[in-house]
Amino acid sequence: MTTLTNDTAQNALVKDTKMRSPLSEFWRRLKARRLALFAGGLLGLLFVFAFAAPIFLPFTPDAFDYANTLKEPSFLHWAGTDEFGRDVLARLMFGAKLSLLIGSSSVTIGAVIGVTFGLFAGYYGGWIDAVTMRIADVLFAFPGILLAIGIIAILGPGILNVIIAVAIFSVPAFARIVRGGTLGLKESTYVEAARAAGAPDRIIMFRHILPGILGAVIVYFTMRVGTSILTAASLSFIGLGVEPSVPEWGAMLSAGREYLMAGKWHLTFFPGFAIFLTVMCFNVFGDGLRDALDPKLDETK
Amino acid sequence: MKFFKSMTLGATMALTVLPLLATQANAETLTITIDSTLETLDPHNSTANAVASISNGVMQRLIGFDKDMKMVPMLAESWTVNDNATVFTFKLRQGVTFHDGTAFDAAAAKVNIDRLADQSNNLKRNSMMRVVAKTEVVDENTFRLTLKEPFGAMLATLAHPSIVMHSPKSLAEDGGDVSKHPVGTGPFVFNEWVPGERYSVVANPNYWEAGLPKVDGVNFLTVKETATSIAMLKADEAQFVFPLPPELFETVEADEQFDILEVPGITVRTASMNMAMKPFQDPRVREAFNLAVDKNAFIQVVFAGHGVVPTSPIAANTAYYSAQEAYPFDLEKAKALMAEAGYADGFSIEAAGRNSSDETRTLQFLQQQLGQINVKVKINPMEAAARSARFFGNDVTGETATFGLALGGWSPSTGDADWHLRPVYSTEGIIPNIYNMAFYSNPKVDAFIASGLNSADDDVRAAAYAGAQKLIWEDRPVIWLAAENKLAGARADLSGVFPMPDGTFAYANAGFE
Repeated sequence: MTTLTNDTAQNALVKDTKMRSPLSEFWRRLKARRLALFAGGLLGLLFVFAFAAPIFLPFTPDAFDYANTLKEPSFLHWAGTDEFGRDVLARLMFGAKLSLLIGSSSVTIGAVIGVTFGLFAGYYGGWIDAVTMRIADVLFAFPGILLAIGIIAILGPGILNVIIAVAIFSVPAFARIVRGGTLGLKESTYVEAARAAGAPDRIIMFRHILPGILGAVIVYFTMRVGTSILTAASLSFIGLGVEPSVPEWGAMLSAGREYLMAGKWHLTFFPGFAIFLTVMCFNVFGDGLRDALDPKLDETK
Repeated sequence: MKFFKSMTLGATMALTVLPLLATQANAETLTITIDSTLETLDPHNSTANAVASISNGVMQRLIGFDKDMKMVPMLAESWTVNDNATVFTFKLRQGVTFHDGTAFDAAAAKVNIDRLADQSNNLKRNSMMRVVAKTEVVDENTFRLTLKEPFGAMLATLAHPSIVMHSPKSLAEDGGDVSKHPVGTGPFVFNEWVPGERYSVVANPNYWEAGLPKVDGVNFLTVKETATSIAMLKADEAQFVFPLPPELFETVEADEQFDILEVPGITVRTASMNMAMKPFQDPRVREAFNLAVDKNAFIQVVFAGHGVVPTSPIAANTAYYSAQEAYPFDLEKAKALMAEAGYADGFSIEAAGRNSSDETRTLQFLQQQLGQINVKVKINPMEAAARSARFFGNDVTGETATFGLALGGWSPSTGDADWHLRPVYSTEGIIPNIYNMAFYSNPKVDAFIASGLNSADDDVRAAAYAGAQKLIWEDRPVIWLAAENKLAGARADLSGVFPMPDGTFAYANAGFE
């Protein structure tokens, strides 16, 4: 009996476009943004390739072959070989895993810390707000890469420290976005209602306010992953990131640069193109997400 | 509007072209790019190859080196040595004047050697003249040097590119001034120095050697990016590029407008094994490390094939070289030796070196090769200051040094076996003192080195250094990687500028044909 009513109700919903569930509404709006969808698809493909590479590639990223160094792209080595005769494609794929790992984990750490601080600052206001936002201002005063270099200088090079450095410079941006959203939402009627019903602050913040600003956080998160990959690559490029033997895109670019004048274009082109494509995909996808998640935007046709 | 536009365009073009025309008109000026910045212009107080290189056209030594590092008379025309190598008498060239007009004579030579020998001056090259007991002006053109103890390599030491003759007047005026404004006897006179950027010299019209100098002047530009220096060579903004990175050899060689100058080097590249660490105290481990590294592949990968596999602790064109049997690449034997020593499963070590492109590549190469005998290598390319503190800091001892492998490359700028064996393999040379980064100490080697040092007799010295080389080769405190060739790129019509085996270059005879 109840099942039947639910079914009819659902049928009615499908017919009425104004009453979709938020998720399907979001999907419908995202679908309309072809470029963003394409970028997202490309990222998905990259992800699959990066993890499937060891299965279909005949080379491991560290397998050296001194008889075949600096070979241009061929049928066997699709992206050529580097100065140690290592397969560039295998290294790129391993590097993709590394870049995605560094990008997503650092931004996740930054987001968790930033969101928490932003929520508290926005919700409680007063001195908590003042202190948090002044710290954020100080962090904002440094250009991102400079801040990351400073942090690496203190912690020393290495993958873990790169993740920490990139995480730290992501914190203030998240804190600001969340604080702004919280300030707007904490005066809203449903929050007032929750408070009137006796809900504790913790519940109000995380159950009622946070979901309201999650959209903005997700959008910023996506775009930030792109920036973080770029920053991590930059740090490795200048020798402050990973150990030079690790197939990180920035490190590969830096090593290949020495052979650029010698005509070995593939050593810089492929890692450079990989960085470019990945960062751009994250940005385009992030743009699409923002539009799709923004209820104020009119429907695009 | 369109008229205005083309006017602006024309003006911009004219402004861009004008400076180019100015350099074209002055075609007799030579421009050389170097890869490091100059900290001082006083070779007495610098250990940098670049300082020695840019100085050799301005200031001269008593004894010089030819292309192959054989000693030739320079400001001294001839010399005599007593039997036990303690008294050296030099007949000086007459009619030589410094750029400030004062004459070069025995008194001038005395002032310079005294300056170097005086420990209170704190000069970086003091160590080379510390053995001097007495300097005498015998007559105007005869200079005598008496040593505290016999020193067979004294003549080669005097020929070292840093033991130059400053004008006594320039030293007297202000002790610190020669570091910014050197005055010598060479074919070129100091003109201008912009630290970190450029250094320039102009022709000396009163030079003593007929026919020189052949160019109006020489500019030295510091260009750290190798690709930029090659681009400058191709655009004729520079006519001599040193050093030429081996990976760009083919690009320069392919263009017939340019010549490659290549000389066998006397720098021996090594990876010192830290013998204060337990695994490296076992000779089988040290042998395994030497066998596990494919040196021919190393030279291919790091120096694009421009070098030779070392066959002695010192390079083949260093005086008193004695050939040893090269270690072949033998992975099976290396594995067996490791197993015999109880390290079949290997161990973990850190390999440390510079963050320059060649040393970074070397570190990766060693990581790959030693991985084959299960040694896990963590590589650590360091920037100059960090490396200096790590290897040569005052508190460095075998007990505190945590690196397993330390990259090094020593070239004896005296061209003599002593200044290679003593710094790198004697007990006296253990870091932070000089350059023995393996903490290697063998009393028999020390005794051989000392007996070579305390004689001026060729046969005695040859026998002593042959003995030392044999023992060191058997002890294997380091992995001998390569003796790389020194490469320079030059415009085809340039002559008289060439790289030296020790990693400096000479330009006194520069000329365009």
